[in-house]
Amino acid sequence: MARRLIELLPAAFRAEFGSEIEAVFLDRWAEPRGPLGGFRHRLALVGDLCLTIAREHRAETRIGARPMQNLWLDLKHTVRWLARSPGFAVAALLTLALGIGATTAMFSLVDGVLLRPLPFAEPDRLAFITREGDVSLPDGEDWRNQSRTFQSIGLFARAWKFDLTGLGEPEPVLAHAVEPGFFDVLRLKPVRGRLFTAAENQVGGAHLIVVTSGFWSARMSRDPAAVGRTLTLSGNPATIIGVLPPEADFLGDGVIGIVPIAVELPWASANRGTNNLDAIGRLRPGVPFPEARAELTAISRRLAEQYPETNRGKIVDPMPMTEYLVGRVSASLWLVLAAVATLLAIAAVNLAGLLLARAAARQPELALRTALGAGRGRLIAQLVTEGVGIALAGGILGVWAALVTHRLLLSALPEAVPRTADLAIRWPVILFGAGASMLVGLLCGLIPAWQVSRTGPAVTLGSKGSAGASRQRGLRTVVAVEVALAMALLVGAGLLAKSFRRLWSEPLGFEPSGVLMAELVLPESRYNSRLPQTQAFTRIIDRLKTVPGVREASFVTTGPLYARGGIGTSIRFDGRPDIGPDRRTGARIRFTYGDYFATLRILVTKGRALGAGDDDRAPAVAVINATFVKAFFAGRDPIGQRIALKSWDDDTKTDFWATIVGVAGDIKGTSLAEGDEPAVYVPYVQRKIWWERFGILALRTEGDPAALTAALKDAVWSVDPLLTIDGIQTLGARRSAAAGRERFLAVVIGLFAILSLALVVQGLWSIVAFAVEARRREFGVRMALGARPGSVVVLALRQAALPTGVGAVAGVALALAVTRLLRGMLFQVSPTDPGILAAAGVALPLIALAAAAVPAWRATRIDPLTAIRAE
Amino acid sequence: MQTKLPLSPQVFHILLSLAPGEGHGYGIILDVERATDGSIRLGPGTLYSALKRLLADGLIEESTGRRPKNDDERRRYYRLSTAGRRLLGAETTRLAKAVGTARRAGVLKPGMA
Repeated sequence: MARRLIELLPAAFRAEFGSEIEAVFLDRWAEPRGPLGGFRHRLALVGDLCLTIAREHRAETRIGARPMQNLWLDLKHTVRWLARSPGFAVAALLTLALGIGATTAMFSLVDGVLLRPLPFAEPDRLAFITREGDVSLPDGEDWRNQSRTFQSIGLFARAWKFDLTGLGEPEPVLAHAVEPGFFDVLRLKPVRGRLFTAAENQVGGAHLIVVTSGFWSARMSRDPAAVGRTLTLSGNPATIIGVLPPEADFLGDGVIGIVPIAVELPWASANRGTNNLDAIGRLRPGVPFPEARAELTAISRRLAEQYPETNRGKIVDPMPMTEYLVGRVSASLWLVLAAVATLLAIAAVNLAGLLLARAAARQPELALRTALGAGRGRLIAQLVTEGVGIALAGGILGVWAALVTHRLLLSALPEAVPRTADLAIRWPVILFGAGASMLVGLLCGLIPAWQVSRTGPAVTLGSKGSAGASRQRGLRTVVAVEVALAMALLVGAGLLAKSFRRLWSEPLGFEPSGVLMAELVLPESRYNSRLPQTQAFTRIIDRLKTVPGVREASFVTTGPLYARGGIGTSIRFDGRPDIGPDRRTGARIRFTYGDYFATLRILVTKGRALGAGDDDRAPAVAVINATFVKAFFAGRDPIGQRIALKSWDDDTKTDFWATIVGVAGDIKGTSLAEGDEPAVYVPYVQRKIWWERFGILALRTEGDPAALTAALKDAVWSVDPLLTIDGIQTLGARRSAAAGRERFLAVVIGLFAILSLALVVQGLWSIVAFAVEARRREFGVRMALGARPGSVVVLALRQAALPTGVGAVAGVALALAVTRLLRGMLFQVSPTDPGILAAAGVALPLIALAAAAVPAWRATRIDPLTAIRAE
Repeated sequence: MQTKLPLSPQVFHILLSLAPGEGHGYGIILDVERATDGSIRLGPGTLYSALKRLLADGLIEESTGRRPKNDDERRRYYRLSTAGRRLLGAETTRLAKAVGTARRAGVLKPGMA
């Protein structure tokens, strides 16, 4: 490629420095760099050569001519030339505007979400400290005291649910419950009022809140007197003592503020086994991340040895804050950007092909210019100006479109993308758009220019409109590149579609249609013991059962497809030695009320379901799921066996024993991709713990479940008008959301693949049409001499067939190389899935040739007489 | 000669990289990149465009002297001409004066730069 570009340099300059430039170029090209850096580095190298071509040609024409005037003339000429074929001009402009606009808009997301640094002091030093299961306060304090790589560590209960009353309808809101270390880590400074201190973070202390600036603006109209007012949070009056800066809105939508953890969640500090917290930390200056990770891992290993009861197997995995915040969406964003950039490349190559084909029609014009003394450089400058002119016009349209629409993109994305509240088109985005346009323009201009540079004026004048061999070669290259790129997109789209279909057809273990669900939390201030909790939930369910249109109503503490998975505990088995607090005996506990299995149509494969008879006076019973049986009762009948939930009996302060009465089928508990964990279903009314105040209502309805939303609210509020109802959703919608990312990627990349197919079809069609037109006379003569139509079609098709074949093979190779990057996003589909590769490998060339066949067939309709006479 | 001042940063650094002795294209690119902590990255095209002008202006000349053994045949070496050396001196003096003025104006804290 370097050599081809160097060929475009003015002759004198090339003769003097060409070989040296090539040598240095190749040296630089070969320098080892990271994948992204290397790409940027090489792009800069190619860009440099392109700019040098333009600069040196201008420097040459400067002698005796005025370069700016030339440029102006070329531009005027471009406009006139385009105005003469407005259809082509509009199509070219729109294609480019669409391509550049979509790529720029997508880049604005990548830039704003992934590349922009976090708005905190020295964000590179921030870490999110996670581990399997959350963190407990005593653990976090030990990390803080023992770590030498972290300057500060802050613990918090993220997005805890509170009820906000007194500001209109009772409303569920989220707040982070934090200890003051949290502020040190982020170095937060309030914009109004103050933050709370360690002295205020005490069990039994006064209720306080520092509100987010979002809440302050939206709900308090930025009232300067807001500090000092009180909000009613879950029944407690909390004084607003300050307002957070806008950048603190980063850990989740709908968070209204930060509250002291010891005041709001006094139980959180109680013991090492209560793992409800997250941790963030700030590294000491200069400490590399791996060192901090190694140290925390060592500390958590020591804690696991010291406190095996609670900590065994709980090893810490800190990760950089940025990665934590955006890691989940980053792969999707990059993938879509890559796909849209591929589409842009196809559009650009397509346009280059069209320009090249049209250059044929201009051969007399170019020849005349050469004859009148226009130098080769002057012609190249003109063609490059034309390409760049079109591309820049398209680019301006595109960047404008991106400015207007990039927010729409957000609503199209399937999952909440973090850091988009203050998304703006920044300079890098504009530069990206401009750079993409320039690149496209240079490509569109240089390909025809390269042809001209290879064609002497004598050839040009002499050949009189028949297609030169080198131009044919250029067109064939264009076809091959287009087909190859489209193939890669097609294969990617096929893989994602297959992956989505696999995911969607996973057996759920329940029947999603006709079910309405809603989440309820009983506020602790009014529901701090078992009896009122049980009464509230049982009354609500009993009331819901009487609502017309409701077939079944029930309650469960963790429903299907809830990402959090629900609360788990260690299990003991009657008649087996206690093998200690090992995670291997852990299970998820799901309390139910009403006939939950019937409501969701979860199969009970053995024994019986939990029923109304299993009340608080009856002996405690449990239903276990199939995974539980497989894990702990392999080859034995579990019915009648007794198991215990460790320390789940508040009355006796010991274990909660229950007899297994049934086995239920597995369900998709947390996501569509993962199987169920071992789970135990226990009647809610038989529980012996006081802290389970959260639950999901499930209704099986006749007809459309969403129609019962209002009736559901009425039923809940008839029992307690101050309860807040959250997450009202049909189970079908929840299932759709669970496959949201896969569906989105399959649809979007599929759409791009279809667009790229359309471009290939259009490109091949016009290129073959051009070739037929250019050989009109030859075909006419052949027909006159008695050639059969079939052989003429074959002759015309040959133009397209070979490059299509080459492109298809190269495309499959390209696809094999790049789809490996999809591995993490595919569900039970290999990136080299032979079915998809074969289907795309056959379908694309067939479609391409079908597109080429129509203009080829036209060759047989050429009237020999007219064709020859036209000369 | 004075009218050429100030030099563009690229030209200044190219001349500067040739100040200790002769050098070739790739070496100049690496020198400049190192000296400016990567803030000036010369592409090969840009570099040779600049060398062409410097040669034409007589500020550098091609050196035909000894070259290392096993060196690439195509590699050409350049060195500063007397005029080039003078120009580089003049530009450096100009920069030094500017730094002095800035320091007196209190823009620079003592000890910086």
